[in-house]
Order: sequence, then structure tokens, then C-alpha cells
Amino acid sequence: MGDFDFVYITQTVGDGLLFGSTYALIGIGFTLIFGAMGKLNMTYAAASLGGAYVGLAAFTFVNAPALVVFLVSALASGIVGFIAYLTCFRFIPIHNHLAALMASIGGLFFIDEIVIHTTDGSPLTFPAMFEDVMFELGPLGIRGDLLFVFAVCIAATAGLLFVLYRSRLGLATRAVSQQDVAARLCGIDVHRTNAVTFVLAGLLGGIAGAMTAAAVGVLSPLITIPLTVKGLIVTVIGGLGSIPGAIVAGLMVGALENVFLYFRGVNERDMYVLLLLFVFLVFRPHGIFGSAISRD
Amino acid sequence: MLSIRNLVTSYGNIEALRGVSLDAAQGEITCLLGPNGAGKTTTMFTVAGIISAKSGSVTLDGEDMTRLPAVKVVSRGIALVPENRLVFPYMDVEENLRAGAYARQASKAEISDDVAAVFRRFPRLEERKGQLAGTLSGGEQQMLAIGRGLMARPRILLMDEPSVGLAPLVVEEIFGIIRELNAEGVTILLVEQNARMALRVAHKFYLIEGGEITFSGIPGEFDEDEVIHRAYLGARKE
Repeated sequence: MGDFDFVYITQTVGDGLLFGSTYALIGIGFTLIFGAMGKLNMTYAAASLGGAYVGLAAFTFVNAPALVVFLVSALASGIVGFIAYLTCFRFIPIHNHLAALMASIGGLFFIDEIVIHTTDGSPLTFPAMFEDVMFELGPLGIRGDLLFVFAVCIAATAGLLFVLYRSRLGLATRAVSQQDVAARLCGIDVHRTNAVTFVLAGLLGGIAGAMTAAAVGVLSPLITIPLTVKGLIVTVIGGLGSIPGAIVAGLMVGALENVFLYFRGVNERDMYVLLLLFVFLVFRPHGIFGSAISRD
Repeated sequence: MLSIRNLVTSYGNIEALRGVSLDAAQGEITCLLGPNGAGKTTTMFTVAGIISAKSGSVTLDGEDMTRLPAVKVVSRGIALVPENRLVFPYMDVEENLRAGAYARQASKAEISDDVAAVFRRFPRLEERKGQLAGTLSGGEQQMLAIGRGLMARPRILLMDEPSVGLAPLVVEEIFGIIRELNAEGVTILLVEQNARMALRVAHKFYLIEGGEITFSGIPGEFDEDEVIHRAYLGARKE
């Protein structure tokens, strides 16, 4: 619990913004699937960390380099995303939102249990990159590993936006999320497109999971629920279904969380983050980028 | 060309269509009229493959289309311009059109040519090609929905209530477009509640009530008011 020190606060906010990029990525994943199906995929953060665990296995057993670890994390999480789609969404009647929600909450705990049983629930060290690098910026320092995490998250987001806005696949994804009947009339296969959306979100989640672990330095099942909650908070604050909203909200939550940490300590930090969510729900329930155009 | 025989469609236990039969001839405008809830949209959705038929058949030039999913129906030549237009609100005008060609195995150049053709037909869409479709006026959205349907290069264009929710002047404009399209050789199956307007463009009409075709004919052979009155459509002439 610090005093008001301008340099230190700037440092804190800066670190928070960098780390917030992982929240943004998780938020984008939630929002992507919500946009496509109007449903929350509660398995998402668990799948993301699950992917990171598979990446970690590649590190532990074949001593794969960090970049390969991140790639394996992304791929594994993409596969888990596809499985989550098949088990929790594909065959549940489209209008039964509660069933899909409950199924995916079940999926969340299922993935979490698998992780706990295979790791005995103990935290494992996760490889970081550029850990020892520190950039000096006057009185401020930028941690190399956080900067790397930030850069990867930006690249992943840019890649996603490219797919969404420049590819045939992205056209289909957006069409289904905006008007599914019209999408079908245009010849777009809604089920296949939804599956692709889950895989895309999963790839992104795996990167986010790996980056979270890389920034913290460890992977632990204890991260699952907080990351789920943070992801949902970011999604709601950003505006359900809004990718720019998730980006802004992710960075904002990352920064503010560090400020709360600085002033009030780690025990109270998440309380203030939840308070922030509450403030948004009361005063701006549609989030930062609430939809301007009503949907048919 | 399009031939519907004894089509039965139900929502759960409720039969929405109870054996609908109709024919739409090549190069003509065939009009399906009827009051709210008569089964007009259900007929369109069943033909387009959005809803699956319980029994009966739909054939296009002799090719069986019954119970094909929408994805296949559109690639085999039936495009539906849905009621309420259903444009993709957060896509710009040009992307909406490109989405309409999604099912086609066509080169980029071919699709760009077709987008340009739609823009020639609807210059107002070209003026707004970078604008989000959700911000267009109702009439413009209807033009966009028609353009999107044409992008599929259909053999027959299905149009569900293109005049709904539009101002009278815009309705005139839309019906002008329908007439023009037909003059260029597009075969159209049109569903309308605005019977008076529809009868002016139709070559043949069917009346549907309670999920059944109750009457059919050629507009010129009947007194317009009589047809409208018989189907309890629109207002009677004072």
C-alpha cells in the first residue's frame, strides 16, 4: 500500500497495461463466441490454461524452445475449443441458453480437474522470454518479458482482425454473428462457421494462457477461476460482442488492477476490480462499446 | 420452372402449411398473397431450406430441392430476399453484397464484376458502399437485400414482403425495381401483403389462407377488388 508517488504510479500503470493485453485476448475470445452464438463459453479460460499446460509439457518432456511452447499452447487450446463446441454447444438446442451455459460450466470444472489430477495441483514453472531484459525510460523501467507478452498479444489480435476482416472465413464468421438466417440464405454453413469461431477463439486463448503463465512465471490451477472472472469482467465492461471493447477493457482492467494493488494491496485488489464491474453494470450496462445499431 | 407440390411444414404439432402446391413459370412474376399468419413466409423458408418440409416436394427445373439445407438450395439457384431485409448490420454495403456470392465457386474478378453490376442497378448503394448496412434507410436496405440475393446468380429470386415497413413512395420504387428485374428476365416468386401493388406486377397469383392455397388466377382475368376482397386482404374500395 504505497503513498502517492508519480513515477511509481506511472510504472504501475505501464506494467498493468502490458499485462492487461492478456486480459484483452481472453476478453476477445469470450466476446467472439458470444458474438457468434449469443452464448457464454465458460470453458474458455480453463481451455486457454489447459492449452498452456500442454505447451508446458512440450517444454518439460522434449525441452522445446519457448516459441514452440507458445505455439503448442495455442494449437492445444484450439483443439480444446473445438471439443468444447462439440460437447457444450453443437448439439444443445439453439434457444436453450441455460443448458449451454451449464454444460460449459461443467466443461470448465472438467478441464480444471484434469489439470489438477495430472499436476497434483501444484504450480509449475513456465518459461518466459526476455526475462532479464530491462529497458530504461528515464526513471521508468520496462520489463522485457512483459513487453514480449504485450507484443505477442498485439500480434495475435492483429492476426485475428486480419482473418475476420480480410478473409472469406472471417466474412462467414461475421455474417453468422450478425444475422444467422441471412447467413444461411447466403449459403454459409452456420455449424461449421461456429466451430471455426471456437477454434479461432481457442488459438487466441492458448496464446493468452501461455502469455499469462509467461508473465507470472508459473502455471497453476489456481489461476483458472480468477482468469475466467477477469475475462468475463473485461467482456462485460467492453460490451458483449465488441472486439475493440474487449481490447480497451482488457488494458484498462490490467492497468487499474495494478493501481488498486499499489494503493490497497493484493487482498483488496480484486474487490475493486469487481466494484469497477458493478459501476459499469449500473451506469453503462452495454459496456464501453455497446452496440449502436439494433439487431433484427 | 419452380414447382411446389403438396408441401406440408409444421412447427412442432402445428401444421403451418397443409399441402401447398404452386408453380412459378420461367421469366414471370408469380405472386403469393394472403393475410398475416397464412403461411407465406413459411412457404418461402421451406423452399429456401431454412425450415425442413414434412412432406411434399419442391423442384427447380425438375431437380429435387426438397429438404436440402439452405446452403445447398442457394448454390443450386434459389435465392431468398427475406422479410425485413435482414442485412448484415455491421458490415458495409459492399461486404453485404460479397456475402451474397458466398456459395458461388467464382473468381474474385467475376464477383467484383457482379458487385459493379449491382452498383449500376442501384447507384444509391454505390454512393454508400463503405457505409454500415445497419445505418441505411429502409428502402436502401431493401435494395441491398435484393442486390445480395442477385449476387448468388439465382435461377429464381424469392422475395418475401419487400414492401413491408416502407413509405408509400419507396414502395413504388421497390415495385419499379421488381418490374425492371423481371423485364431483364429474372424469374420472381413474390410474397406480398400489399395485394394491390402485387397484382399490378404479377403474371399469376395464388391466394394462401390457413396454410392452403384457396384461389389462383391471372390478375387481368379478375376484378382486382374482387380478388382482394375474396382473400380479405387490404382495404375494400370505399
